[in-house]
Amino acid sequence: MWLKIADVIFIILAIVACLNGAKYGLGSHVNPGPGAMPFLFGIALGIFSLIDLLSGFRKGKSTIKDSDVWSDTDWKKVGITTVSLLLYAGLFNMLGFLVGTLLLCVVLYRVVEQNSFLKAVVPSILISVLSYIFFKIWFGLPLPSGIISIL
Amino acid sequence: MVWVTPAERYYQYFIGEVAVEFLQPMINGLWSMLDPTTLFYCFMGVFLGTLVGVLPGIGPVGAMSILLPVTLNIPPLSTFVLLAGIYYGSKYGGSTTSILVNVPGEAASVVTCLDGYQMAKNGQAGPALGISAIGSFIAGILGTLGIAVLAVPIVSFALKYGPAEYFSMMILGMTLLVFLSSTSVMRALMMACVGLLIGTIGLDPIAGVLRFTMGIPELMDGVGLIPLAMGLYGIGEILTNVEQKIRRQISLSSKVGRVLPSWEDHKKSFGAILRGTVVGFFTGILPGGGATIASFASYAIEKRISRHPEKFGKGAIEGVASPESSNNAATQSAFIPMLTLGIPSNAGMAVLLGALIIHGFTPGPLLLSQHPDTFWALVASMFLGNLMLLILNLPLIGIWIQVLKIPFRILIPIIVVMCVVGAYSVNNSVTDIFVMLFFGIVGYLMKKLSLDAAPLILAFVLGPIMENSFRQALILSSGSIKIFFVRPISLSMLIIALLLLVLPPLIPALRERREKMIQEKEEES
Repeated sequence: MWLKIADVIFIILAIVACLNGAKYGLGSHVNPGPGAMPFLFGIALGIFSLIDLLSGFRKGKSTIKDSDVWSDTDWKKVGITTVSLLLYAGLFNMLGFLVGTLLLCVVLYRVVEQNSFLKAVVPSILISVLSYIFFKIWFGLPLPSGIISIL
Repeated sequence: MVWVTPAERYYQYFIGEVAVEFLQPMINGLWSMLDPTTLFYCFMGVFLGTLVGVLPGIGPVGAMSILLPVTLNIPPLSTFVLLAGIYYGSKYGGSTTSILVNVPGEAASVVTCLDGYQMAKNGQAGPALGISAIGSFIAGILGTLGIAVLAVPIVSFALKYGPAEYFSMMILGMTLLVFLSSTSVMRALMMACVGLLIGTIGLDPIAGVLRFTMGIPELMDGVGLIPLAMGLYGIGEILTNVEQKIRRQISLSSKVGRVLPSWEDHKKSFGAILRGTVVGFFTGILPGGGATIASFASYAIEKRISRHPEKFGKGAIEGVASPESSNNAATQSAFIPMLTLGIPSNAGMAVLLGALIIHGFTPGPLLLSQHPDTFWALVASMFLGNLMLLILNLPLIGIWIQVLKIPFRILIPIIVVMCVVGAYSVNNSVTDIFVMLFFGIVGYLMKKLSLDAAPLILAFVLGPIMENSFRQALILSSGSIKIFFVRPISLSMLIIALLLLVLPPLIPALRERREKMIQEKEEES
């Protein structure tokens, strides 16, 4: 079922590509427009996805079982990791690299890895400080200072 | 009388005066490789390569993608030497975990588990590791020699190609990749189309129209290779690893002991190493062929021709020597299409191609004619890199056994931080971090659904080149599509591509063979 859902998503993506390709202008065969390639790629994606979807219905069963797809998924860990990464990116400029990285590492070690508080904080401090020294001071990358600059 | 070196005589004999022009740059390239900075990066590359090979979880493509932004601040040659070192170094490291812990550090080392781990259980971990390193070294050196020998003739030939031939070659390359992909042809084609579509995001180079930018100014230049590759291979791997419980312990049965194989072991392995090298070299050249298929193919051949096939799977040293030589030869020969034609045969080569473009190099035959020193220095680095790897994997094998004891999950936050810094530092933009995270989630879902990311990333890299070749060919022919069919080389490539797509579903034997291959790969993953 999941592969069929993926096929449907790809078909929608193909339709979006074709519609936008037409909007950008297809041009002519002598001078293809900016939308020509997205349109062609969209058509190709749509055809392949449709064939895959139909062959999935025809075969009846897939080589990948639905139970196999999510059987070993730890939604809690994957969810926390994903959300904390998105929050980290969203607050990257405000918190700054050092504080943001420290908090992210603590979350990853404490919540995801389920380490004790000390085992989570000590490596987190080490990673954030060392990476700050390595990337910001040694390599001179313009990483945001965030709230540290206010302090 | 002018003294002519054997190398000059070879080149003059085979391809005439053109090659002689390459001899001086070749010597210059070899010398520039001896620069301490380049040597340092070569060592770093093979060291990190072995490290990622030893640590299951993050593969060479992920490591190369993560380090790509860091390389923006170092000289181009050092960048290529570093990334290439990671790529071929990982194949050495992958065998260590296969032999000692029965967990392949790298997909290409899966087959090594069969006999390598059995040898370790029989108290022969040392000779297994030894023959693996020696076989890898011989194959690496012979593979690199292959690059040196074949590069000039291929480039001389490819320089005569026009945009029509280039377009057809890209089509053939992608078709081969799709044909040899680990998933079904249709799904690999879908992934390639998605990669091509992602490649169209941004400002159209000819008409100046914004495509699919969704009003995000940072997307005007398109999606960067770095956030895309780091997302699919770095963050995607991390999310997969977060939920997996990889337990690795070195069992007492795998005491390493003496790593140098006995004379008897050498005698048994010599032929296997050479056969593995030949099989691997030719498999590696094919787009999508890669080290994994090479190792399986050479193992199957070795088992078939062996006088004692029953010993395979129970600790036959040939079962270690052959696939390990094969995957290293394939790794080296994969550089040939990328360096000479600008066609990456796998995702690792696509990242390296991206590095070439980022550093202002034109991939393809022009690379050798415009930057021969860099090209030959890179080839020289492979000789030296393989030598360094032999030292790292024979006398210093103890280091990697200690590394094996580090739980991978401890490294997850470090890898995440490197990915974030890498994505951010390209344009100093948080948008790139979000792009990377988006593709990280996509990569994770693709892994769950067993969709191969390699066709996507390859199509993404090749897409813009293909679009340019297509448009140029049409301009040259005043819009006639016939240009792709009237030129013999272009036509031949298109016919081969078509046959590859059409024949397997029609011919039962081919279909069965392909399905068997997919099944083997699924079992392996």
